[in-house]
Amino acid sequence: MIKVKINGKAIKVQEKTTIIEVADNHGIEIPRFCYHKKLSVAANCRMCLVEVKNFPKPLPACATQVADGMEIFTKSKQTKDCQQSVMEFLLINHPLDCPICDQGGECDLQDTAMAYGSPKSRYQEEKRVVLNKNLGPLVSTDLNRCIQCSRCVRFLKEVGGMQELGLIGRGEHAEISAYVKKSVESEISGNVIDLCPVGALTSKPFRYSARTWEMIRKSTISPHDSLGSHLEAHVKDGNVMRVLPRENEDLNECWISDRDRFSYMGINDQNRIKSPLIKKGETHESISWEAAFQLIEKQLHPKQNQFKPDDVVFFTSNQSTLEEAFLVKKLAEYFNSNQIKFDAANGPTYLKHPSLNTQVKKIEEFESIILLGSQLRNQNPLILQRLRKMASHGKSISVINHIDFNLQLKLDQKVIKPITDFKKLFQQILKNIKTDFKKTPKTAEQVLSKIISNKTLLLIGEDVYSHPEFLKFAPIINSIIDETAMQFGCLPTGANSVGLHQLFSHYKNTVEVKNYQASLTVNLDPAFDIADSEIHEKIMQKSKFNILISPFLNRNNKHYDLILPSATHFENEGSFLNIESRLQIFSQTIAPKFESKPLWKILRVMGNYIECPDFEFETCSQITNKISNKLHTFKKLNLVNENLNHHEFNYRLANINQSDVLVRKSKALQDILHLRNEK
Amino acid sequence: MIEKLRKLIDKEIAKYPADKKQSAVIAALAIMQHHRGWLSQEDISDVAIYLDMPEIAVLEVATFYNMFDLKPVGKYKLSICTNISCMLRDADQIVDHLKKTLKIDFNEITKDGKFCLKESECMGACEGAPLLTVNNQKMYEHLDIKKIDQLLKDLK
Amino acid sequence: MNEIVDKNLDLEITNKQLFNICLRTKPLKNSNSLETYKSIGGYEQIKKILKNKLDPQQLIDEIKISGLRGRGGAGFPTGIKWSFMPRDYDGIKYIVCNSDEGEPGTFKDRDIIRHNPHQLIEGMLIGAYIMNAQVGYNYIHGEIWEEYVSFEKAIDEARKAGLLGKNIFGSGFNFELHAFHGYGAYICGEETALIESIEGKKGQPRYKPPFPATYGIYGKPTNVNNTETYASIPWIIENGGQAFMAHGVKNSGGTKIFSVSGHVEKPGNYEIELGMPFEQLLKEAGGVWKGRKLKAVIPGGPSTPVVPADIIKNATIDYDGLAKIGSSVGAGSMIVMDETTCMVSALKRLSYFFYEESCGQCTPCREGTGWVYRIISRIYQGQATLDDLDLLTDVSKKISGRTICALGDAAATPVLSFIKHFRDEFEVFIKNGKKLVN
Repeated sequence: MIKVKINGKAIKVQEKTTIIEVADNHGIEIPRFCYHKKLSVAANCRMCLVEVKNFPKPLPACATQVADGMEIFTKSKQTKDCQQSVMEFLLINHPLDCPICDQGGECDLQDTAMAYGSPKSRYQEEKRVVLNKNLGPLVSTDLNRCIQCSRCVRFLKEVGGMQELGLIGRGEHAEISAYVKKSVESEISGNVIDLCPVGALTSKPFRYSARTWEMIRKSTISPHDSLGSHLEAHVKDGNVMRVLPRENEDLNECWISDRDRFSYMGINDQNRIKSPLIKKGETHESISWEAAFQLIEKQLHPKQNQFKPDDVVFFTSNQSTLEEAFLVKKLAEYFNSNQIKFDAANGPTYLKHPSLNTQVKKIEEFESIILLGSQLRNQNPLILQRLRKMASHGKSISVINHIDFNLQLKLDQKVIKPITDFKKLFQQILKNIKTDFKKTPKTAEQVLSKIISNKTLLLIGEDVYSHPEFLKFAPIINSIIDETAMQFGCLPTGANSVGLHQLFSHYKNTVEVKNYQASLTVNLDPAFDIADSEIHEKIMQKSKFNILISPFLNRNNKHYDLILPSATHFENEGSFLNIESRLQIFSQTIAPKFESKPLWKILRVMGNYIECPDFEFETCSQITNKISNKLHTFKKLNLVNENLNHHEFNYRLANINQSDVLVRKSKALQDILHLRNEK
Repeated sequence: MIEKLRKLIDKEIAKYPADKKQSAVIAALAIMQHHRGWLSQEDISDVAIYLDMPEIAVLEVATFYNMFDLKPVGKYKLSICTNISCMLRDADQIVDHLKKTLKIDFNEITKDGKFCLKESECMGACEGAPLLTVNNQKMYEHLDIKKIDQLLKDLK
Repeated sequence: MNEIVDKNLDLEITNKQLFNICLRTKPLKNSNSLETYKSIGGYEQIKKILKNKLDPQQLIDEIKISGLRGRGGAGFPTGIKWSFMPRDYDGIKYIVCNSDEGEPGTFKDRDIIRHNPHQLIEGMLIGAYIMNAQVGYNYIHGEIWEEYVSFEKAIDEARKAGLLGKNIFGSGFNFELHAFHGYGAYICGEETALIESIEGKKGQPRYKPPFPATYGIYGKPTNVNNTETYASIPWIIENGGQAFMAHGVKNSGGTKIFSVSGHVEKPGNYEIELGMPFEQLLKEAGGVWKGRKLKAVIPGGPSTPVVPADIIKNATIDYDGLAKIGSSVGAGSMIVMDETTCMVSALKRLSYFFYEESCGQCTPCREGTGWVYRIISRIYQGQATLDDLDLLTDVSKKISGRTICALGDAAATPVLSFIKHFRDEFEVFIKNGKKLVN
């Protein structure tokens, strides 16, 4: 610790911290534009210049490390003069169009000008004109407003992993641009909207639709991946107008994926199911909720029907909340059925309680990461972002996979082989480790053998631990763990994958193809969301009474005898267990659209109609309280040693813009897909 | 990218560590530009691919250094210095004469596509002021009206 | 400064002459050939150093004694700068010669490359030995293509003669040197912008610290010095620091090339013993052209303040001598202006230069240089008021000292000094809308 003085007040601070960090930690305000705690220091806007005793020139607080005895003045005459002059310089080429700027009211430049600027400008010449660029469906540009802070450029390069924007030209003529006619493709590109301190980069879908002060801020949790980013939905007149990140260092830091940011656009999609629908011939007709439940009572009440065990089959998605899954499980128990595909996107469970096994932020504490399988960029872009950060700090990130995905990070080693060769690969690695391998490593696997230590984290993708081949090499991984004390973590993909595996730990996530009395499909579209959609199709054909509960009509609805409209995530409440088994509870951000209802309510009323016992829940949290949540961590892979139905696994390419029902209805996210398909 | 240019670029790449090919970007762009006379989008993309750089990073470089031309410049680009030392030696008169003779302003190309005039900053050869360069390479010093007329005749 | 040196220099040497150190071979036939350089004892110094494995610290001390200061404009003592390079660094280190002279009025490095490239190469070899660098680059100004080509030839020549590459003079010492050709950016003369440029990026200066000696090219320790600085080294090693020092005056050791341009009869490079009276240098350059009267001089390039004739008349040309009259040596780019010069036009052109060459990183420079140029243009077009002169001064002061690199300061310098010394000329322009001079 060293001592410095800020504005005459002595404080003790850590060595190697910068003036701006010290000021931020002590609530001393220093204005800034280019500085951002998560990006490299550019020191170019000069707004944070401060007077420091014994230095002839003012110093940028963002780039200057404190030194013992340093005396810093953030309010002195010189500092104020600097602030006022930089403000004046920034405004000479900045248009005075705040009334028509989306950033108005939440603009760093506007706020800082009010606090540090001069009320009048001495500039009388013409202002610079910069043509706007089309950066794609998500980010809108008004480049006359740009103050060249370069935050967006640095973000895409450093966090996004690929420089997609640049400041082209020189001096006053420099302007933000993507490469000729290219749009930004990063799956986390929307963060540049938040980073832009002015209204130069704003949200295209949100453009001109609301003012910041008109909206109510509601907290929620991302339903799109297992990280469970903390989100803030901004609501006006009962509609979600936009979604922003809530900062959470443990999970999403200050970022969110584009999927998290723009999925809200699906809420009002034209395919929303407006009321319960009953099958009439080849089409469906609208009926009342009461009529729908009466039909359910007729078809499903055990007293009116003869059900044998396993006569009812259930399909749910890994986006289902703990509460929804809990109720489904109770229903299944009521029907005495083991036929539950709780994580429809995946095959049978080979591994008990797959989860990260550690905390997300602790990933960065490892010295090396080996990513086994996974399609991280399309599944969990913010975890990938942490790996990028590690790589840029010189840590070793390696990949073993059977498809060579571009992760946009500097890999240490890369092994691309058919998954059937993984067994041999791990055997070789184990052999090298056991023989205390001393040779200078030549091949990637030899280098990997050298890298692995107790500071190594093996991250296993869902597509690997769900693969039948996994059972063949998992024991070898366990042997490597025995030898090296390497740690491992799994990368389940769904918002509630971990929760579902916990609730359904005694189920196999596999269903038989046979004649059923009834089926219940919840919150998924078999065309996209089921590992083996043919099985679902066959079951639908063989089952007598099929119910779909979903916010949207599916691609093919002909088999459903009854379709019930459920709420989308933003209209729903409940909880998820995220990838690190963290319980994340969220409440409604807006009221459900049309006649739709939160799924837990639909299931609860259903249960009541068919007299399922212990189903008297008044609130969602009463259900939450019923669910016991235990944290499972493992030193070694905990394999399920049973004969399982292997054919249900299909390796599928993940597409971040098609991951779930809501995402597929978001126009902006679909526009990106179309753009890419055109190329 | 044609073989001849690739070889020239390889020679530049060899000046830097194997994983620092990017260091050759200015040289590579200059080689491409010298071949075509200017840098097309294709040239920039080719360089990006060859040096394993994001295209936008190459474009940043191509637009930062002002001897690069991202638009056609005619057969002969005459870059004339108008900075202080040349100005004091009456560069303005040379500029006026060139503009009048070629019937073009700065950054324009003569109708026959032969000449383009560019105003340039100090070339670091003020001893020979006023002066100009042709196509970024050949320098002509101690200019006067007579020498200019001769030069225009010589450039065929 | 060393005590012995001080004693020597108490004997005020007033009799200063032209004396070629960096331009030693210029008067000779085939000045730039290896053969010519060898004929004057070229490459003997590095040979001596390598054969005898001379102690780098002793060599640095010799350079410190010489009083050699960075000739690119900053004037930082070279010996001290070289001692900043980490000795026990385990890995590759670089040295870079900065021949990117873009400061208007500067053309001395070009002459060294044209006429005496091997002395520069030997200087870099000695530097590489002292700082234990394995690779060097010479960053050559974009507009002088022919010199770039000729320097590449000189490198080839040296390489073929075993003077560059591996195991030089059988000593086990390795040094590889490459030429880098810039492509039109004044800012790359700033050493960290130059480093960025060598890395294949836009030439935007880095914030310091860290300085290049700890974090240079590719993050490796790097020394950057001007061409003239490096080219001075072999002579200093040959003749000793004292001898070099003795050619100059106190605080200004040795010779320095002045590039004299503008309104003189014989524009050109004059390598002078520092301390030479201005009048003498002007005479060497043939005096003011066309028999006209001297109006003003920019002694070291536009980033040094302009000095009116009556003030510079009695000055001596050395670091202290020019500081005394409120200006500085800079890069030795002496721009001479006669009585017909319109100072408003001159300032307008210089301001355009800084506006055009600002890299655009820092707000005050990016926005301020354009603003300054536009105000001066307004004055030039007769659309300004007297208040605009104060505005001009104020804006310039607010650029100065508030940017990452010194371009901001450089841009402010001509504005402040021109208005300070020639305010009346600006006022007349504002009042009458036309030049004071014809």
